[in-house]
Amino acid sequence: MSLQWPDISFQDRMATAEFRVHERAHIVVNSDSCNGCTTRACVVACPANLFIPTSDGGIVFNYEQCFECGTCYMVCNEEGAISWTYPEGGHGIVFHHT
Amino acid sequence: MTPIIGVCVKWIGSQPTSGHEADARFAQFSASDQAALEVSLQRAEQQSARVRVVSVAPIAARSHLVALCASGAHELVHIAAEGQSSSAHVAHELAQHLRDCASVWCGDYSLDRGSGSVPAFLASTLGAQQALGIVGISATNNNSLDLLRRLDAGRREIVRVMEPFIISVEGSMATLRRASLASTLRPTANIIEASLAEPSTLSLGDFSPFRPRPRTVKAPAGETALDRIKAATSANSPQKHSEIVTLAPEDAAQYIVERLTEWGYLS
Amino acid sequence: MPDFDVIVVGAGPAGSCAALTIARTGKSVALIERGPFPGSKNMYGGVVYPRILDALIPEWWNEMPVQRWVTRRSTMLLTDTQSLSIDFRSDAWGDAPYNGATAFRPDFDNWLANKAVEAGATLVCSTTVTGLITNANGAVIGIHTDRPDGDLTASVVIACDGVNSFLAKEHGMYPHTDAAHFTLGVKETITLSKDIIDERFAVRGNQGVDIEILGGTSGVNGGGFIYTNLDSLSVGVVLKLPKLAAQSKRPEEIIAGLKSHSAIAPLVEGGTVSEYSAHLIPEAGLKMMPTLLDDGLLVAGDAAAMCLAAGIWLEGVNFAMASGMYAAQAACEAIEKGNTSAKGLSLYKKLLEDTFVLRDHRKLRRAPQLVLSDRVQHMYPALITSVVQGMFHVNNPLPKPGLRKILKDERRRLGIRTIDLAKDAITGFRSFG
Ligand SMILES: Cc1cc2nc3c(=O)[nH]c(=O)nc-3n(C[C@H](O)[C@H](O)[C@H](O)COP(=O)(O)OP(=O)(O)OC[C@H]3O[C@@H](n4cnc5c(N)ncnc54)[C@H](O)[C@@H]3O)c2cc1C
Ligand code: SF4
Ligand code: SF4
Repeated sequence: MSLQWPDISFQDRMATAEFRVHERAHIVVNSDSCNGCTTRACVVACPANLFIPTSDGGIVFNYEQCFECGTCYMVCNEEGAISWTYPEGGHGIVFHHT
Repeated sequence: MTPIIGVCVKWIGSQPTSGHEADARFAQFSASDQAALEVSLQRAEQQSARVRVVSVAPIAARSHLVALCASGAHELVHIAAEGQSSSAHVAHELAQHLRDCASVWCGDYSLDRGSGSVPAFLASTLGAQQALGIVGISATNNNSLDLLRRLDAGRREIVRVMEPFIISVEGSMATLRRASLASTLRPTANIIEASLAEPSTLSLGDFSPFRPRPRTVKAPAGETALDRIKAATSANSPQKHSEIVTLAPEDAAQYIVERLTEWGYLS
Repeated sequence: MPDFDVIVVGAGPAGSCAALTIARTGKSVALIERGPFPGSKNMYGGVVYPRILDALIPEWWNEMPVQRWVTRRSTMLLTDTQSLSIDFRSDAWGDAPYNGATAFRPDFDNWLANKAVEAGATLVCSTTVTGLITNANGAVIGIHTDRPDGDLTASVVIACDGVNSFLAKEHGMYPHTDAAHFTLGVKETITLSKDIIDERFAVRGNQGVDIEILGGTSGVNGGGFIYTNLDSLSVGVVLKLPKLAAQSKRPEEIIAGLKSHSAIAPLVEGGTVSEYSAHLIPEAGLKMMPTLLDDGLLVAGDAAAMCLAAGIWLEGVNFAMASGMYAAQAACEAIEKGNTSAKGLSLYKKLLEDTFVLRDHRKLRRAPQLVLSDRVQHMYPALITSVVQGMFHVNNPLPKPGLRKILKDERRRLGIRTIDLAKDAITGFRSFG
């Protein structure tokens, strides 16, 4: 890898996508289940970087800027850690030039 | 006759913050417009009234307006207009379809950060009372409402409006109910099509900004220019920034008039 | 009487082609989409191969919202410091009836759904289907939605609800779902002026380029892509889920790594990221395909894993459109015969078997596994590029080495066993040959 690419900040990156946030959280993470998790697969895999590990072994999750891709529930091996649904119709991610 | 509650909504072609061109696909109604519709629907239920949604919007907005009305509005007046029109003109056109409404509800904030002057022009055209920035209803009386209004710095005031009135509500006041599947599949609102009349029909008179003439004031006495400037700006005299007086309302009004006269604002 | 003859869930390419086909027969069809408009939830790499539309929309190329017509296709092998491209150009692809086009899904899907509406389909947006309604015998007779009074009934439901298809899963059509069958696609839409794109990619007018990349994904099994839109590029990577989860680089860092490669950086330099997006791909082809039909239910498109993602190919929209159309034909036939049981709907299977949809998948059934295998991902690019480097590297006064010797040396150096190479070559020949 020869050139260093000056990348945009993650916040600016996410600001390029339109999210119509609904008041109901469509994904809920049960942080208790995460305490025993050794993989932390969601943390590295979620393209929106919505899974933030806490110092006490839990996970803080914010649903607002979610692409609704499904990666997190697929990579998570802990039964019951993630309850995943689609947001209410008309809400959530709205793509423009994809 | 069944009373009619009017709701004015503004269609915005696309979210202006997204930096993309206006495009009907990305259109939305502001949260406050949606709140205005929800409040109207709730009042209509209490009063067995009908809700009429009125909008000056391009043809491309039709399906969005119909989808909005599927939440329970009874009538939709779509005044077709492409491009921009002045607030006064829009208000005048809206007014033609709101004359039989005792109350009209608007959103306080539009997605394109409009000036918010349409409700004011509407109130003027219809001879109705107007209240802005409403976040709640604190009491319902016979022909009037006590409304909770947001002021700066977290303060609130209660204002009383008498019918007919035009009220702009904030988005936090209510969340619009979802349209049922049946009314989404088979829209029930009665659609009235209208088109924007030429602006010449305006009956609002001419407006120009208020520009008072300059007044010549005699220079204060003083030996040197510096003295006169000090006197004119009260730079050396002890400043009285504020004063707390406790008076009965009539006396307070009298006091204010006296001070304003003293300071030269009134003559 | 059911509310509709057919309900189609999801207004992606599969759903819209299904609804269009049904509406044309005069039957009533509801097309239910959870996004505010069709395409608003959908992202992909960037090239549609619309040949199948010849059967549905004559001269579709005159009205389809196209960014550029693909006239140049490159396949690129990347190692950290080397790249090897196979570049193909065809002028014929730049004229009607065309081959492939770059297009944005919010444009393309919306256009296609409106074709169905023009034919008489009822499109309902902003409505999420939350489940299937079944009768006492387990046959599907309708759907639940998230709207008040949101149930709707039909003779046949066609699930075109995409890669996560909760409908197919809920109905037990997927025996098991394995994260290893999916890849995550992330992409950046990068704004760049048309002139610069024309110059950098050596194209003119509305000609476009499709570059598929093997390697360059920071060691995570997968691949990359660059497509030219009119005045932007689509640059992204696809990443095998378990491999992504088992390392420490995040998706956007992997894109950044690709963009900084010396073969890629000059193509994307100076552009601004105007949109970042992500979506899953069902990657395993035939191996993961669910049961395709049951009483009152058909599954099509990504919901049925009919996506071909095998290295040099990244196609799904065409499979979705075709399977949607065939599902619709089967549904119509079943309704006309008055038998919408699995047996009555079996024409669907036959149509798929007879056409490219299942033939391509059968032929390429081993390809995804091969292309995403560690050897193909990590060793062969290095082997091939080293061999090419060995051939072109001038090492005077030593004489040029023979190809066979270079191959042998490099194979040894990289620790690739001849038997594995032979096995993979056979699989490759069977799939791609
Ligand atoms: C990164 C990436 C790159 C790709 N590149 C290419 C490429 O270059 N060329 C190509 O041909 N293919 C490509 N594909 C594959 C292609 O995108 C898919 O195969 C194709 O979109 C499948 O179409 P579909 O109609 O089956 O599903 P989708 O396009 O996913 O459509 C499903 C629709 O259903 C809706 N939906 C889902 N659930 C519900 C519900 N419960 N209720 C209501 N609506 C619902 C969704 O909102 C969506 O509109 C790519 C995919 C990815 C992720
Ligand atoms: S969500 Fe799943 S993968 Fe993520 S930390 Fe919790 S248990 Fe682990
Ligand atoms: S669905 Fe995708 S974007 Fe949303 S939280 Fe899960 S991994 Fe992240």
